[in-house]
Amino acid sequence: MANVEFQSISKTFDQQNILKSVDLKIKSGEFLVLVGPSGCGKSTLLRLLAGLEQPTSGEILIDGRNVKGVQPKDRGLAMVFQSYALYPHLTVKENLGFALTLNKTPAHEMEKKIQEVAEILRLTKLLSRKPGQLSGGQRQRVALGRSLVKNPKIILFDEPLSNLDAALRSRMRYEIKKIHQKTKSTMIYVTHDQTEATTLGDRIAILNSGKIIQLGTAQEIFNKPVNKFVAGFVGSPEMNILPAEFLGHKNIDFGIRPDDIQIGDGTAQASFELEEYMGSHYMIYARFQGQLLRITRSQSVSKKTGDLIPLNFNMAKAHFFDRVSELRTNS
Amino acid sequence: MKKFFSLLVLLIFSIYSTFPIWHIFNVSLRSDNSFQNDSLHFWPDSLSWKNYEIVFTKTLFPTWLFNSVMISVMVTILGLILSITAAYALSRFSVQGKKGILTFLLATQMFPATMLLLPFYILLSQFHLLNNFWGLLIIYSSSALPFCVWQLKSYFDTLPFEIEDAARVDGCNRWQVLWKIVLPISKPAIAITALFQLTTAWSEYAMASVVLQDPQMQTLPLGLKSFQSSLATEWGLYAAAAVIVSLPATLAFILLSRYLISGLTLGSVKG
Repeated sequence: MANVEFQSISKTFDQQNILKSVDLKIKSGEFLVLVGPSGCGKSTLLRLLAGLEQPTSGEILIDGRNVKGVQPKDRGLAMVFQSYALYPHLTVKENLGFALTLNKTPAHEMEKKIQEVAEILRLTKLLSRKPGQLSGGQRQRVALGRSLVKNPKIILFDEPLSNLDAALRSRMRYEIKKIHQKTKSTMIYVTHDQTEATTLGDRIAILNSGKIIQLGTAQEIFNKPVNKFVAGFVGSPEMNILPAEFLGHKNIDFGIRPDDIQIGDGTAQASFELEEYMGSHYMIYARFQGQLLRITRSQSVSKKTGDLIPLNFNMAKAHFFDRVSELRTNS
Repeated sequence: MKKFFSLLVLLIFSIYSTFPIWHIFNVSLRSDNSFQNDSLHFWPDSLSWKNYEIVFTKTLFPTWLFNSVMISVMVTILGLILSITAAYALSRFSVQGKKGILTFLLATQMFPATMLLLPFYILLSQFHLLNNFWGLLIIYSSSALPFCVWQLKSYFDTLPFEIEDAARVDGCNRWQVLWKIVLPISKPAIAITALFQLTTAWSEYAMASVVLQDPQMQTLPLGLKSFQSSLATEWGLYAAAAVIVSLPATLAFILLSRYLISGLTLGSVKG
């Protein structure tokens, strides 16, 4: 366990500002998720912490110690990569023990640690195989095991589940969460998948264009997005955002989540377009004030395209954003 | 039917390409000194290893063999060290003027080797490296280097960066990354490069004839040539020596063929 602090971190690549004076404190043992669209700088932040890149300006502290010039191997951390990054010429066992071999861990101790991790991640029967003989999920478990075997203070995850199918992603999420509960390591997890962000993170940092836009728990971010970008980015299905003129507000946008619109007993009238069966619920598409609305509902509305449906917006859960600054205006 | 014709074509080409080898082997086993006469049959009339015996006992062949082995091995080792480090640096680091360096390396390959004979001779003469193995070693290593650097760089470019990042986080320094990770997974490319350097140095004649004049220092291609004279050529000895000379290269090809095949196809498959 270790705490991490980014102080005014900036990073420039080819005259492009990837990170713009980022300040972020991560508590010891915390599971922090960095989430944002492609190119927002989230992976760069992780690579800077790992020591794989150097910041253009600013400082990074691990347990209060400035790590400028400290080699990746001496930062007490491990990293799990999106492409697994296993060593293809080594067996699973050799992959797991690679870091231990480098720091000259005694053979019996190494064997014990490898067996422990292999058991946790159900890799015992695969130890003699090479990465090329493993499935995607097995490879990612080896990558995870390779990071655990060092007992690192901090584990960094760079979109580790992106290459896996939905079922496997869900299972791996569970495994990662269990490992966090067990090891209490500080974990920093980069993803563009908001399900991973909200299910895994103690706190979530939303990044966009090289800046942290909002930092908070999943509930805080979901219930009180600080601006229109966060409102649109977090939550699935996406929040409906439309001009608030119909409510009598000028230059304000009105945001409402699909769950917070009821069909059947309101004064607002929308034109039904179509509905999708999603298994646990229906997704209704209707046009209101010229905008397409998404509404979730447990039952089908049984309407034809063009039929009018009455809507009731749950105003207690409404969000308002300034149209120019895009910032939240209601508390 | 299609398969039959494929096999037939392959058979014809196999005979066409292996016949000269068989022919020279045939000549090497004959006791007389005939090469192009009517009595030359597909099978030799009588088997005789005499030519091989003479080549090893009554000529400078063992010395030439030693010289050739020494030079080829040294060229290969030196060439691999230089080309691997250069190619890795050009592939992974932001070297200033990288594009210019690569274009320059490629441009040096446009000149025919014979054109370089005179400048190399003058240079070696000024540095007192004529009749010196080091002179030949420097020339062979430097002339093979551009091709090898390009070849290895192209291969290193296909390796995912993340594997090296993982190794650095796991505890490797840059040299360990190269030694423990990059080189083992680059075996096919390294095998091709090594083979190229080895066979180039092993069979090179023109440059060696300029640099090495002392018969005691000559390499096998020069030695073979010395069996020919304007009055009479020792065809039996020549053939026996030629067979021996071709063995190491053939052996190297057989040993490395596994890597050659994967090396030729690996670049097309990502990761």
